[in-house]
Amino acid sequence: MAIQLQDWFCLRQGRDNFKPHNLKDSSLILCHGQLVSDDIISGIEKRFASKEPVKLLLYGAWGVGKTHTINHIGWWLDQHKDDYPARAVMIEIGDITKSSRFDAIVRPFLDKLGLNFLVHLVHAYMQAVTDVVQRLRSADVSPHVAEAFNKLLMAPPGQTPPQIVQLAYDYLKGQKLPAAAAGMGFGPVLTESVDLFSVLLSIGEMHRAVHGYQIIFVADEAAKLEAVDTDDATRAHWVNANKLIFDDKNKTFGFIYTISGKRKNLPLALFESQLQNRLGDNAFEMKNLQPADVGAFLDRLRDAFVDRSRVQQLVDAGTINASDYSWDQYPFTENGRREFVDFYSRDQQNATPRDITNKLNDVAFIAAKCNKRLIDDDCLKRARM
Amino acid sequence: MRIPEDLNAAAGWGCYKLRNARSVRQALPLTALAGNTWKTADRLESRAVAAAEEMEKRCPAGMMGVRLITEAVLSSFAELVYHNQRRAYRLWLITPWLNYDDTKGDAVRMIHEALRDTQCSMTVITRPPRDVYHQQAIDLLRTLKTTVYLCPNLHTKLYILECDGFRAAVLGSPNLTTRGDRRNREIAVEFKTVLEGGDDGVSTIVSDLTDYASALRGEDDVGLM
Repeated sequence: MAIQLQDWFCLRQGRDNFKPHNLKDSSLILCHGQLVSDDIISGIEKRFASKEPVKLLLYGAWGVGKTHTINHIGWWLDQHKDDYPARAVMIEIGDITKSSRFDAIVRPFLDKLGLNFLVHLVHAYMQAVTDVVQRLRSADVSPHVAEAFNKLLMAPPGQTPPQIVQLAYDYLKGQKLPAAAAGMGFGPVLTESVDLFSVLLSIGEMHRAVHGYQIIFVADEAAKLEAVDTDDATRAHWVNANKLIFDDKNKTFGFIYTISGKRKNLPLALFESQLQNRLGDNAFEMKNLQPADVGAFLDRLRDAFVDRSRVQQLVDAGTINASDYSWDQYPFTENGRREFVDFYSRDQQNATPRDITNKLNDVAFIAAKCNKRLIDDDCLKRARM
Repeated sequence: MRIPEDLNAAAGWGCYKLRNARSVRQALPLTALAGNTWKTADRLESRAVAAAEEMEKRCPAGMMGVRLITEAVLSSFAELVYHNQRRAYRLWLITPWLNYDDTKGDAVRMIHEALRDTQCSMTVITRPPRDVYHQQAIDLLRTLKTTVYLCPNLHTKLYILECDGFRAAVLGSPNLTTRGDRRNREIAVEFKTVLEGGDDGVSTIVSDLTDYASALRGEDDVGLM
């Protein structure tokens, strides 16, 4: 029978290895506990207290835990929805080229929400405000965008939408409509930053009016925006879109970006000086783990992933050598754990949760292959650590 | 075609230059230019930008997705490794046989050269070597941060590159050998994605292939070298 890390290292039900899952483990804070709890979450609480939408920028090296953190924020909001009601809509930013415009972000948000959701939202909004276009216009939504949302009323909720509704949906995503759409009352293709911002503004306005709480758009991995920094006009377009989002005047919807990179290398589309002013204290850097943090991370990982009672049974049965075993060091021997942590103190550049869990899985497989129940320094040598 | 070391370095400057849309003269602290003339900076700047543009052509962000490769599958993958050497953090080579020769552009040599001074960890899963050429190729790769697993029944040919912000997998018929790259009729499918946990098809396939590669290490007939 094939070796399963789950059996070999007594992992809990549903754990195949030592790698945390972004969504399933969103409740866990395995590292950066102080930053997440004391700064980010308390920052969110302050925004709610002052009735401001949540606006954040998280940056740090690849694999440092930004995606996990925004998933944790989503989980936290869900757990505290009575006190901090919000709907977080998360997308991962895909393929951005130097000519990509802000629709590259608006489109995946609309895809994520889905046409059905938007149709229901516009219908509910109409019941609340009567005149959709007028109310959206008074919320500073640009005319073509307001008209396009109004067209969604032509779809009866829950039924197959007519062609014009599908076209309106495509139009709002910044797509060029086919010739058949001529004469249906659509404006020019949405390419201007203010128009694309208006799409998110409309959704935020309707969501707030219908549900009584904010919607937060979460865009993961904005490092890809560095591609748009190559061209002045495109960069200006993105800077303007982001200025509109992070401006104090936008009290309608929240927005969270995560970016991989150090502060000095961040894309100007997001770190232009006026944007920095608007973000103020809401930009947080997630740093690589210090040696003490690596140890603490391993401890939390072990506590969350390993079934201690099963380990103890193996110790009692003599399968794990009791003289080498200590729960504090598990799944390592004392030397093994010290070497593992030392490796990351020598190699700070790679001291990220992603790299640590990858390496932990590597050495765990090696230990299992060597028929060892604990990871010792020999396993680390074999993994070239 | 490989990017020479100096051109690669120049491309780094070029990327910096393009990213910030400022001149190298503005980007460099004045002390760094001490003893140099502005003319030198101009030459560096134009060379750097040209190199960066060339690099962008070879691995543009817009080329994500799926494509079929029928020629030079392995050197194409090795070039990908080479161009992304600074951001690669993990490489999987699953191939029954592997070898290398001194030909320029040899896949194993190119991978070795690309990752020689990096922290990228590599896992090789291959058949137990019975020939000298096979053992030599393993030995060469073991000079890097490589763990080798042996599987007598291996028939899979799968190559995965995991980088910061981008992942690629090549699944097909060729072994990581010179014949597999240059002489045999081979076919492979390449998957590239910039998404990590995306729910699109390509990202899911790359994740599934990585999970397959990882779990293969635990199979009964797979042993540690």
